[in-house]
Amino acid sequence: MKSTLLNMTAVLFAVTLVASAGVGAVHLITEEPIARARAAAEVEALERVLPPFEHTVSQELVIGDLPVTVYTATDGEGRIAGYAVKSETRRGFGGVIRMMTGFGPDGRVLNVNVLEQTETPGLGTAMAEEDNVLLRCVQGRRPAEMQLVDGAVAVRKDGGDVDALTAATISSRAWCDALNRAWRAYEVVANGADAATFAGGTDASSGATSTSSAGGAAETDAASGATSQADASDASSGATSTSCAGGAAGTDAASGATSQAAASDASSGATSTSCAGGAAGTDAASGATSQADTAKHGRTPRCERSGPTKRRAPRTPRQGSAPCEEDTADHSAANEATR
Amino acid sequence: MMDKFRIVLDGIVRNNPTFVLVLGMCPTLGTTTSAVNGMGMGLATMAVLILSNVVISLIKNVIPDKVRIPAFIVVIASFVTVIQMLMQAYVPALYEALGVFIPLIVVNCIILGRAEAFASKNGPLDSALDGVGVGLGFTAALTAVGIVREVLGSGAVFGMSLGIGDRMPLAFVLAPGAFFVLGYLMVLFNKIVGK
Repeated sequence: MKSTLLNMTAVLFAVTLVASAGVGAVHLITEEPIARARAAAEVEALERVLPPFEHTVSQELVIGDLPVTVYTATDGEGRIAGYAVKSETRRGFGGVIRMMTGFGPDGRVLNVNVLEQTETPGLGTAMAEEDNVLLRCVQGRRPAEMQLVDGAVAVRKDGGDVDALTAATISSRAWCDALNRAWRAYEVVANGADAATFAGGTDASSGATSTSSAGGAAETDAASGATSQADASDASSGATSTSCAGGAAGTDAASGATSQAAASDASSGATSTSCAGGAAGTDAASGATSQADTAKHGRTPRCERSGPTKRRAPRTPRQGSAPCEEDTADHSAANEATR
Repeated sequence: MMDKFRIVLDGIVRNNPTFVLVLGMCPTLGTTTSAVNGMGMGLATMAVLILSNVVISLIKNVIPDKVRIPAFIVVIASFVTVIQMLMQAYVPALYEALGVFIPLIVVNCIILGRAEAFASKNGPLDSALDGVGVGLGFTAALTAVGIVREVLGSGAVFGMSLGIGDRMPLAFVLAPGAFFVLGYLMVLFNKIVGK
Protein backbone atom coordinates (compact mmCIF):
# COMPACT_ATOMS: atom_id res chain seq x y z
CA MET A 1 0.00 0.00 0.00
CA LYS A 2 1.35 3.41 -0.85
CA SER A 3 2.42 5.66 1.97
CA THR A 4 -0.02 8.48 1.40
CA LEU A 5 -1.15 10.50 4.36
CA LEU A 6 -4.65 9.09 4.10
CA ASN A 7 -3.44 5.52 3.93
CA MET A 8 -1.04 5.93 6.81
CA THR A 9 -3.62 7.57 9.04
CA ALA A 10 -6.31 5.07 8.18
CA VAL A 11 -4.09 2.05 8.71
CA LEU A 12 -2.66 3.29 12.00
CA PHE A 13 -6.14 4.09 13.21
CA ALA A 14 -7.38 0.64 12.27
CA VAL A 15 -4.42 -1.13 13.84
CA THR A 16 -4.71 0.74 17.13
CA LEU A 17 -8.47 0.25 17.18
CA VAL A 18 -8.24 -3.48 16.76
CA ALA A 19 -5.33 -3.72 19.20
CA SER A 20 -7.10 -1.83 21.97
CA ALA A 21 -10.30 -3.79 21.38
CA GLY A 22 -8.37 -7.00 21.76
CA VAL A 23 -6.59 -5.86 24.91
CA GLY A 24 -9.88 -4.65 26.36
CA ALA A 25 -11.50 -8.00 25.69
CA VAL A 26 -8.71 -9.93 27.39
CA HIS A 27 -8.89 -7.53 30.31
CA LEU A 28 -12.57 -8.33 30.78
CA ILE A 29 -11.83 -12.02 30.70
CA THR A 30 -8.94 -11.89 33.15
CA GLU A 31 -10.33 -9.30 35.55
CA GLU A 32 -11.97 -11.85 37.76
CA PRO A 33 -9.12 -14.37 37.92
CA ILE A 34 -6.73 -11.54 38.75
CA ALA A 35 -8.92 -10.35 41.60
CA ARG A 36 -9.20 -13.91 42.84
CA ALA A 37 -5.45 -14.41 42.69
CA ARG A 38 -4.94 -11.22 44.73
CA ALA A 39 -7.47 -12.27 47.33
CA ALA A 40 -5.90 -15.72 47.54
CA ALA A 41 -2.48 -14.14 48.02
CA GLU A 42 -3.83 -12.00 50.84
CA VAL A 43 -5.44 -14.96 52.59
CA GLU A 44 -2.24 -16.91 52.18
CA ALA A 45 -0.29 -14.06 53.72
CA LEU A 46 -2.64 -14.13 56.71
CA GLU A 47 -2.50 -17.88 57.05
CA ARG A 48 1.25 -17.83 57.23
CA VAL A 49 1.29 -15.73 60.38
CA LEU A 50 -1.85 -16.80 62.20
CA PRO A 51 -3.15 -19.98 63.79
CA PRO A 52 -6.18 -21.52 62.10
CA PHE A 53 -9.04 -19.06 61.85
CA GLU A 54 -12.42 -18.68 60.23
CA HIS A 55 -13.13 -15.00 59.76
CA THR A 56 -11.18 -11.80 59.75
CA VAL A 57 -12.21 -8.24 60.27
CA SER A 58 -9.81 -5.66 58.96
CA GLN A 59 -9.14 -2.17 60.20
CA GLU A 60 -7.07 0.51 58.56
CA LEU A 61 -5.00 2.69 60.84
CA VAL A 62 -2.34 5.30 60.43
CA ILE A 63 0.63 4.85 62.70
CA GLY A 64 3.32 7.49 62.48
CA ASP A 65 2.11 8.68 59.08
CA LEU A 66 2.19 5.29 57.42
CA PRO A 67 -0.82 3.05 56.86
CA VAL A 68 -1.20 -0.11 58.86
CA THR A 69 -3.92 -2.71 58.45
CA VAL A 70 -4.98 -4.91 61.34
CA TYR A 71 -6.84 -8.13 60.67
CA THR A 72 -8.59 -9.49 63.72
CA ALA A 73 -9.00 -13.19 63.16
CA THR A 74 -11.65 -15.20 64.94
CA ASP A 75 -12.19 -18.89 64.96
CA GLY A 76 -15.44 -20.72 64.36
CA GLU A 77 -16.79 -19.89 67.79
CA GLY A 78 -16.06 -16.19 67.69
CA ARG A 79 -13.02 -16.37 69.92
CA ILE A 80 -10.11 -14.27 68.85
CA ALA A 81 -7.50 -16.48 67.24
CA GLY A 82 -4.97 -13.74 66.72
CA TYR A 83 -4.17 -10.50 65.02
CA ALA A 84 -2.38 -10.15 61.71
CA VAL A 85 -0.95 -6.73 61.10
CA LYS A 86 0.30 -5.53 57.76
CA SER A 87 2.76 -2.70 58.26
CA GLU A 88 5.38 -0.96 56.20
CA THR A 89 8.44 1.15 56.65
CA ARG A 90 10.24 3.53 54.35
CA ARG A 91 13.57 3.09 56.09
CA GLY A 92 14.73 0.05 54.20
CA PHE A 93 18.12 0.32 52.59
CA GLY A 94 16.51 -0.23 49.23
CA GLY A 95 13.17 1.41 49.90
CA VAL A 96 9.86 0.20 51.18
CA ILE A 97 9.59 -2.94 53.26
CA ARG A 98 6.14 -4.41 53.87
CA MET A 99 5.56 -7.13 56.40
CA MET A 100 2.76 -9.09 57.95
CA THR A 101 3.12 -9.78 61.66
CA GLY A 102 1.00 -12.28 63.51
CA PHE A 103 0.21 -11.65 67.17
CA GLY A 104 -1.45 -14.20 69.39
CA PRO A 105 -4.33 -13.16 71.64
CA ASP A 106 -1.82 -12.79 74.45
CA GLY A 107 0.39 -10.45 72.50
CA ARG A 108 3.11 -12.88 71.56
CA VAL A 109 4.62 -12.57 68.14
CA LEU A 110 3.65 -15.72 66.26
CA ASN A 111 5.39 -15.08 63.00
CA VAL A 112 6.67 -12.30 60.79
CA ASN A 113 6.40 -12.60 57.06
CA VAL A 114 8.09 -10.03 54.86
CA LEU A 115 5.78 -9.36 51.94
CA GLU A 116 7.81 -6.90 49.90
CA GLN A 117 11.37 -5.73 50.08
CA THR A 118 14.09 -4.59 47.74
CA GLU A 119 17.10 -4.96 49.98
CA THR A 120 20.57 -6.04 48.97
CA PRO A 121 20.46 -9.61 47.70
CA GLY A 122 22.12 -12.04 50.09
CA LEU A 123 22.38 -9.49 52.87
CA GLY A 124 19.16 -7.63 53.55
CA THR A 125 17.04 -10.11 51.63
CA ALA A 126 17.78 -12.64 54.36
CA MET A 127 14.91 -11.06 56.28
CA ALA A 128 12.53 -12.72 53.86
CA GLU A 129 13.94 -16.18 54.47
CA GLU A 130 12.54 -18.81 56.77
CA ASP A 131 13.95 -18.79 60.25
CA ASN A 132 16.08 -15.70 59.82
CA VAL A 133 17.88 -14.28 62.82
CA LEU A 134 15.56 -11.27 63.18
CA LEU A 135 12.52 -13.47 63.41
CA ARG A 136 14.19 -15.85 65.80
CA CYS A 137 14.75 -13.00 68.21
CA VAL A 138 11.11 -11.98 68.42
CA GLN A 139 9.15 -15.11 67.73
CA GLY A 140 7.14 -16.36 70.67
CA ARG A 141 7.89 -13.28 72.74
CA ARG A 142 5.81 -10.32 73.71
CA PRO A 143 7.41 -7.14 72.39
CA ALA A 144 6.62 -5.50 75.72
CA GLU A 145 8.88 -7.96 77.48
CA MET A 146 11.80 -7.41 75.19
CA GLN A 147 14.60 -4.99 75.77
CA LEU A 148 13.02 -1.80 74.53
CA VAL A 149 14.69 1.42 73.54
CA ASP A 150 12.26 4.28 74.02
CA GLY A 151 9.47 1.79 74.10
CA ALA A 152 10.43 0.26 70.79
CA VAL A 153 12.02 -2.95 69.72
CA ALA A 154 15.55 -2.31 68.49
CA VAL A 155 18.68 -4.03 67.28
CA ARG A 156 21.47 -4.87 69.69
CA LYS A 157 23.65 -2.09 68.38
CA ASP A 158 21.03 0.41 69.47
CA GLY A 159 20.49 -1.11 72.88
CA GLY A 160 17.77 -3.59 72.07
CA ASP A 161 18.01 -7.32 71.88
CA VAL A 162 17.26 -8.11 68.29
CA ASP A 163 20.24 -9.50 66.47
CA ALA A 164 20.77 -7.68 63.23
CA LEU A 165 21.39 -9.44 59.93
CA THR A 166 25.01 -9.79 58.96
CA ALA A 167 26.21 -6.63 57.23
CA ALA A 168 22.63 -5.36 56.97
CA THR A 169 22.13 -3.12 59.96
CA ILE A 170 20.01 -0.57 58.14
CA SER A 171 17.75 -3.29 56.81
CA SER A 172 17.48 -4.75 60.28
CA ARG A 173 16.58 -1.39 61.79
CA ALA A 174 13.93 -0.90 59.14
CA TRP A 175 12.56 -4.33 59.97
CA CYS A 176 12.32 -3.30 63.61
CA ASP A 177 10.58 -0.09 62.62
CA ALA A 178 7.92 -1.99 60.68
CA LEU A 179 7.55 -4.39 63.59
CA ASN A 180 7.13 -1.52 66.04
CA ARG A 181 4.40 -0.03 63.91
CA ALA A 182 2.69 -3.39 63.74
CA TRP A 183 3.00 -3.79 67.49
CA ARG A 184 1.53 -0.36 68.10
CA ALA A 185 -1.36 -1.07 65.76
CA TYR A 186 -1.95 -4.33 67.60
CA GLU A 187 -2.03 -2.42 70.88
CA VAL A 188 -4.49 0.05 69.43
CA VAL A 189 -6.88 -2.63 68.28
CA ALA A 190 -6.44 -5.19 71.00
CA ASN A 191 -5.93 -2.95 74.01
CA GLY A 192 -7.32 0.38 72.97
CA ALA A 193 -4.04 2.24 72.87
CA ASP A 194 -3.79 5.66 71.34
CA ALA A 195 -2.65 5.51 67.76
CA ALA A 196 -1.52 9.09 67.74
CA THR A 197 1.18 8.58 70.28
CA PHE A 198 3.45 6.40 68.21
CA ALA A 199 6.92 7.81 68.30
CA GLY A 200 8.90 6.20 65.61
CA GLY A 201 9.70 9.26 63.61
CA THR A 202 7.35 10.31 60.91
CA ASP A 203 8.41 10.10 57.34
CA ALA A 204 6.83 13.32 56.26
CA SER A 205 7.84 16.67 57.56
CA SER A 206 5.63 18.38 60.00
CA GLY A 207 6.72 21.94 60.35
CA ALA A 208 4.22 22.26 63.11
CA THR A 209 4.94 23.07 66.65
CA SER A 210 3.44 20.41 68.75
CA THR A 211 3.30 20.61 72.43
CA SER A 212 1.42 18.24 74.55
CA SER A 213 1.48 17.72 78.20
CA ALA A 214 -0.27 14.98 79.95
CA GLY A 215 -1.17 16.67 83.14
CA GLY A 216 -2.24 13.96 85.47
CA ALA A 217 -2.66 11.49 82.73
CA ALA A 218 -4.47 9.16 84.97
CA GLU A 219 -6.52 7.43 82.40
CA THR A 220 -3.62 6.36 80.33
CA ASP A 221 -4.84 2.99 79.53
CA ALA A 222 -2.88 -0.17 79.17
CA ALA A 223 -0.71 0.53 76.25
CA SER A 224 -0.66 4.22 75.94
CA GLY A 225 1.67 5.25 78.67
CA ALA A 226 3.29 7.30 75.95
CA THR A 227 1.16 10.20 76.96
CA SER A 228 3.00 12.75 74.98
CA GLN A 229 5.80 12.68 72.68
CA ALA A 230 7.94 14.78 70.48
CA ASP A 231 8.33 13.32 67.11
CA ALA A 232 10.99 14.92 65.04
CA SER A 233 10.30 14.03 61.46
CA ASP A 234 12.58 12.44 58.97
CA ALA A 235 12.43 15.42 56.73
CA SER A 236 11.91 18.20 59.11
CA SER A 237 11.60 21.87 58.75
CA GLY A 238 12.65 23.64 61.85
CA ALA A 239 9.87 22.24 63.92
CA THR A 240 10.07 22.75 67.59
CA SER A 241 8.46 20.13 69.67
CA THR A 242 8.39 19.88 73.38
CA SER A 243 6.80 17.29 75.49
CA CYS A 244 6.79 16.54 79.11
CA ALA A 245 5.13 13.53 80.50
CA GLY A 246 4.05 14.72 83.87
CA GLY A 247 3.91 11.86 86.30
CA ALA A 248 2.89 9.28 83.84
CA ALA A 249 2.96 6.71 86.50
CA GLY A 250 0.66 4.22 85.00
CA THR A 251 3.04 3.20 82.28
CA ASP A 252 2.94 -0.47 81.97
CA ALA A 253 5.05 -2.95 80.10
CA ALA A 254 4.20 -1.91 76.62
CA SER A 255 4.59 1.74 77.10
CA GLY A 256 7.97 2.31 78.64
CA ALA A 257 8.17 5.17 76.18
CA THR A 258 6.66 7.77 78.39
CA SER A 259 8.02 10.42 76.20
CA GLN A 260 10.43 10.28 73.47
CA ALA A 261 11.93 12.31 70.76
CA ALA A 262 13.04 10.43 67.76
CA ALA A 263 15.91 12.22 66.13
CA SER A 264 15.33 13.03 62.53
CA ASP A 265 17.20 11.53 59.70
CA ALA A 266 17.47 14.69 57.71
CA SER A 267 17.07 17.64 59.92
CA SER A 268 17.13 21.32 59.59
CA GLY A 269 17.64 22.71 63.00
CA ALA A 270 14.72 21.06 64.64
CA THR A 271 14.91 21.36 68.34
CA SER A 272 13.42 18.63 70.35
CA THR A 273 13.32 18.44 74.06
CA SER A 274 11.91 15.72 76.08
CA CYS A 275 11.74 15.44 79.78
CA ALA A 276 10.72 12.14 81.11
CA GLY A 277 9.41 13.14 84.45
CA GLY A 278 10.89 10.58 86.71
CA ALA A 279 9.47 7.68 84.87
CA ALA A 280 11.32 5.28 82.73
CA GLY A 281 13.74 7.86 81.53
CA THR A 282 15.67 7.54 78.40
CA ASP A 283 18.54 5.25 78.06
CA ALA A 284 21.87 6.60 77.06
CA ALA A 285 21.75 4.21 74.20
CA SER A 286 18.60 5.76 73.02
CA GLY A 287 20.26 9.09 72.68
CA ALA A 288 21.05 7.98 69.21
CA THR A 289 18.24 5.66 68.41
CA SER A 290 17.64 3.56 65.41
CA GLN A 291 18.88 5.79 62.66
CA ALA A 292 22.30 6.59 63.94
CA ASP A 293 22.44 9.38 61.46
CA THR A 294 22.73 11.85 64.25
CA ALA A 295 26.44 11.49 63.89
CA LYS A 296 26.21 11.66 60.15
CA HIS A 297 24.41 14.95 60.15
CA GLY A 298 26.40 16.26 63.02
CA ARG A 299 23.33 16.88 65.04
CA THR A 300 23.38 17.14 68.72
CA PRO A 301 22.14 14.05 70.48
CA ARG A 302 18.72 14.25 71.98
CA CYS A 303 17.96 14.96 75.57
CA GLU A 304 21.04 17.03 75.98
CA ARG A 305 19.04 19.78 77.60
CA SER A 306 19.07 19.70 81.27
CA GLY A 307 16.01 18.44 82.86
CA PRO A 308 14.84 15.61 84.90
CA THR A 309 15.99 13.15 82.29
CA LYS A 310 17.78 10.37 83.97
CA ARG A 311 20.53 8.81 82.01
CA ARG A 312 21.20 5.27 82.78
CA ALA A 313 24.32 3.43 81.81
CA PRO A 314 24.01 1.57 78.58
CA ARG A 315 22.83 -1.93 79.22
CA THR A 316 25.63 -4.41 79.12
CA PRO A 317 25.53 -6.72 76.19
CA ARG A 318 24.12 -10.08 76.99
CA GLN A 319 26.56 -12.86 77.51
CA GLY A 320 26.00 -16.04 75.63
CA SER A 321 26.81 -17.08 72.13
CA ALA A 322 23.52 -17.99 70.57
CA PRO A 323 21.19 -15.10 69.71
CA CYS A 324 18.26 -14.47 71.94
CA GLU A 325 18.34 -17.71 73.83
CA GLU A 326 17.69 -16.25 77.24
CA ASP A 327 14.30 -17.32 78.38
CA THR A 328 11.65 -14.73 78.89
CA ALA A 329 11.57 -15.26 82.63
CA ASP A 330 14.98 -13.66 83.06
CA HIS A 331 13.99 -10.91 80.80
CA SER A 332 10.87 -9.79 82.58
CA ALA A 333 12.77 -9.88 85.80
CA ALA A 334 15.33 -7.50 84.37
CA ASN A 335 12.57 -5.22 83.19
CA GLU A 336 10.89 -5.14 86.56
CA ALA A 337 14.14 -4.18 88.16
CA THR A 338 14.83 -1.25 85.96
CA ARG A 339 11.42 0.24 85.92
CA MET B 1 8.82 -30.47 5.32
CA MET B 2 12.53 -30.52 5.98
CA ASP B 3 12.92 -26.84 5.29
CA LYS B 4 10.13 -26.07 7.78
CA PHE B 5 12.06 -27.99 10.40
CA ARG B 6 15.18 -26.14 9.34
CA ILE B 7 13.55 -22.82 10.18
CA VAL B 8 12.97 -23.98 13.73
CA LEU B 9 16.42 -25.44 14.08
CA ASP B 10 18.04 -22.28 12.75
CA GLY B 11 16.33 -20.27 15.42
CA ILE B 12 17.80 -22.49 18.12
CA VAL B 13 21.32 -22.90 16.77
CA ARG B 14 22.47 -20.76 13.87
CA ASN B 15 20.39 -17.72 14.80
CA ASN B 16 20.37 -18.19 18.56
CA PRO B 17 19.28 -14.77 19.74
CA THR B 18 21.40 -14.77 22.89
CA PHE B 19 24.65 -16.42 21.89
CA VAL B 20 24.80 -15.58 18.18
CA LEU B 21 22.63 -12.57 17.45
CA VAL B 22 23.34 -11.10 20.92
CA LEU B 23 19.87 -9.60 21.17
CA GLY B 24 17.68 -9.22 24.23
CA MET B 25 20.58 -8.85 26.66
CA CYS B 26 18.59 -6.89 29.23
CA PRO B 27 16.18 -9.65 30.24
CA THR B 28 18.96 -12.19 29.86
CA LEU B 29 21.03 -10.49 32.52
CA GLY B 30 18.13 -9.38 34.66
CA THR B 31 15.90 -12.41 34.97
CA THR B 32 18.35 -15.29 35.09
CA THR B 33 18.94 -15.19 38.85
CA SER B 34 17.28 -18.59 38.94
CA ALA B 35 16.52 -21.27 36.39
CA VAL B 36 12.75 -21.01 36.84
CA ASN B 37 12.75 -17.26 36.31
CA GLY B 38 14.90 -17.58 33.21
CA MET B 39 12.69 -20.27 31.77
CA GLY B 40 9.51 -18.36 32.55
CA MET B 41 10.86 -15.24 30.90
CA GLY B 42 11.91 -17.20 27.84
CA LEU B 43 8.51 -18.81 27.49
CA ALA B 44 6.67 -15.49 27.87
CA THR B 45 8.89 -13.96 25.19
CA MET B 46 8.36 -16.97 22.93
CA ALA B 47 4.60 -16.60 23.22
CA VAL B 48 4.76 -12.94 22.24
CA LEU B 49 7.21 -13.72 19.45
CA ILE B 50 5.01 -16.36 17.83
CA LEU B 51 1.84 -14.29 18.06
CA SER B 52 3.41 -11.09 16.80
CA ASN B 53 5.24 -12.86 13.98
CA VAL B 54 2.01 -14.42 12.74
CA VAL B 55 -0.02 -11.22 12.89
CA ILE B 56 2.68 -9.08 11.34
CA SER B 57 3.13 -11.59 8.58
CA LEU B 58 -0.62 -11.43 7.90
CA ILE B 59 -0.87 -7.64 7.75
CA LYS B 60 2.48 -6.91 6.12
CA ASN B 61 0.90 -6.13 2.77
CA VAL B 62 -1.64 -3.74 4.20
CA ILE B 63 0.75 -1.55 6.15
CA PRO B 64 2.23 1.42 4.27
CA ASP B 65 5.98 1.35 4.38
CA LYS B 66 6.46 4.56 6.30
CA VAL B 67 4.33 3.49 9.25
CA ARG B 68 5.72 -0.01 9.43
CA ILE B 69 7.56 0.40 12.72
CA PRO B 70 4.77 2.13 14.67
CA ALA B 71 2.26 -0.44 13.46
CA PHE B 72 4.52 -3.34 14.45
CA ILE B 73 5.13 -1.84 17.86
CA VAL B 74 1.41 -1.43 18.51
CA VAL B 75 0.90 -5.09 17.65
CA ILE B 76 3.78 -6.22 19.84
CA ALA B 77 2.74 -4.05 22.77
CA SER B 78 -0.82 -5.37 22.61
CA PHE B 79 0.35 -8.95 22.73
CA VAL B 80 2.69 -8.22 25.63
CA THR B 81 -0.18 -6.63 27.55
CA VAL B 82 -2.35 -9.66 26.86
CA ILE B 83 0.38 -12.05 28.01
CA GLN B 84 0.96 -9.91 31.10
CA MET B 85 -2.71 -10.06 32.07
CA LEU B 86 -2.86 -13.78 31.49
CA MET B 87 0.23 -14.32 33.62
CA GLN B 88 -1.13 -12.14 36.40
CA ALA B 89 -4.35 -14.13 36.39
CA TYR B 90 -3.04 -17.68 36.06
CA VAL B 91 0.59 -17.77 37.20
CA PRO B 92 0.79 -14.98 39.80
CA ALA B 93 3.96 -16.32 41.43
CA LEU B 94 5.95 -16.10 38.19
CA TYR B 95 4.35 -12.73 37.47
CA GLU B 96 5.61 -11.40 40.80
CA ALA B 97 9.05 -12.91 40.24
CA LEU B 98 9.53 -11.38 36.80
CA GLY B 99 8.00 -8.05 37.78
CA VAL B 100 8.91 -5.18 35.51
CA PHE B 101 10.65 -7.40 32.94
CA ILE B 102 7.32 -8.57 31.54
CA PRO B 103 6.25 -5.22 30.09
CA LEU B 104 9.87 -4.77 28.99
CA ILE B 105 9.35 -7.59 26.49
CA VAL B 106 7.88 -4.88 24.25
CA VAL B 107 11.29 -3.33 23.75
CA ASN B 108 13.08 -6.64 23.52
CA CYS B 109 15.07 -6.33 20.31
CA ILE B 110 14.41 -9.94 19.42
CA ILE B 111 10.74 -9.34 18.79
CA LEU B 112 11.05 -6.31 16.55
CA GLY B 113 14.21 -7.77 15.03
CA ARG B 114 12.51 -10.95 13.86
CA ALA B 115 9.46 -8.97 12.74
CA GLU B 116 11.61 -6.86 10.47
CA ALA B 117 14.02 -9.58 9.37
CA PHE B 118 11.63 -12.45 8.85
CA ALA B 119 7.92 -11.91 9.43
CA SER B 120 7.65 -8.91 7.12
CA LYS B 121 9.09 -10.99 4.29
CA ASN B 122 7.57 -14.43 4.78
CA GLY B 123 4.26 -16.17 5.08
CA PRO B 124 2.40 -16.73 8.33
CA LEU B 125 3.29 -20.39 8.79
CA ASP B 126 7.01 -19.81 8.25
CA SER B 127 6.86 -16.80 10.53
CA ALA B 128 5.20 -18.86 13.23
CA LEU B 129 7.87 -21.52 12.94
CA ASP B 130 10.57 -18.87 13.10
CA GLY B 131 8.93 -17.59 16.27
CA VAL B 132 9.00 -21.09 17.71
CA GLY B 133 12.64 -21.61 16.79
CA VAL B 134 13.98 -18.28 17.99
CA GLY B 135 11.76 -18.50 21.06
CA LEU B 136 13.09 -21.94 21.92
CA GLY B 137 16.62 -20.73 21.38
CA PHE B 138 16.02 -17.81 23.70
CA THR B 139 14.35 -19.98 26.33
CA ALA B 140 17.13 -22.54 26.20
CA ALA B 141 19.78 -19.83 26.51
CA LEU B 142 18.04 -18.14 29.44
CA THR B 143 17.47 -21.45 31.19
CA ALA B 144 21.13 -22.38 30.74
CA VAL B 145 22.35 -19.07 32.13
CA GLY B 146 19.80 -19.34 34.92
CA ILE B 147 20.89 -22.83 35.91
CA VAL B 148 24.56 -21.87 36.05
CA ARG B 149 23.87 -18.72 38.06
CA GLU B 150 21.55 -20.49 40.44
CA VAL B 151 23.92 -23.38 41.10
CA LEU B 152 26.97 -21.20 41.49
CA GLY B 153 25.24 -18.40 43.36
CA SER B 154 22.53 -19.97 45.52
CA GLY B 155 23.56 -23.59 45.56
CA ALA B 156 20.22 -24.72 44.19
CA VAL B 157 18.70 -25.70 40.86
CA PHE B 158 15.09 -25.07 39.92
CA GLY B 159 14.45 -24.20 43.52
CA MET B 160 15.78 -27.47 44.88
CA SER B 161 18.63 -26.85 47.24
CA LEU B 162 21.82 -28.79 46.65
CA GLY B 163 22.89 -28.24 50.21
CA ILE B 164 25.85 -26.05 49.35
CA GLY B 165 24.01 -22.75 49.40
CA ASP B 166 25.93 -21.15 52.21
CA ARG B 167 29.30 -21.58 50.62
CA MET B 168 28.59 -20.27 47.15
CA PRO B 169 29.81 -16.84 46.06
CA LEU B 170 26.91 -14.41 46.02
CA ALA B 171 28.36 -12.56 43.03
CA PHE B 172 26.75 -15.00 40.63
CA VAL B 173 23.28 -13.94 41.64
CA LEU B 174 24.22 -10.30 41.23
CA ALA B 175 25.06 -8.29 38.12
CA PRO B 176 28.77 -9.14 37.76
CA GLY B 177 28.04 -12.83 37.82
CA ALA B 178 25.46 -12.41 35.09
CA PHE B 179 28.02 -10.93 32.74
CA PHE B 180 30.62 -13.57 33.54
CA VAL B 181 28.27 -16.49 33.05
CA LEU B 182 26.83 -15.07 29.85
CA GLY B 183 30.26 -14.43 28.41
CA TYR B 184 31.59 -17.89 29.16
CA LEU B 185 28.46 -19.63 27.91
CA MET B 186 28.65 -17.60 24.72
CA VAL B 187 32.21 -18.75 24.11
CA LEU B 188 31.25 -22.33 24.88
CA PHE B 189 28.22 -22.26 22.60
CA ASN B 190 30.09 -20.83 19.64
CA LYS B 191 32.92 -23.27 20.13
CA ILE B 192 30.54 -26.24 20.10
CA VAL B 193 28.42 -24.97 17.24
CA GLY B 194 31.64 -24.14 15.45
CA LYS B 195 31.04 -21.16 13.23
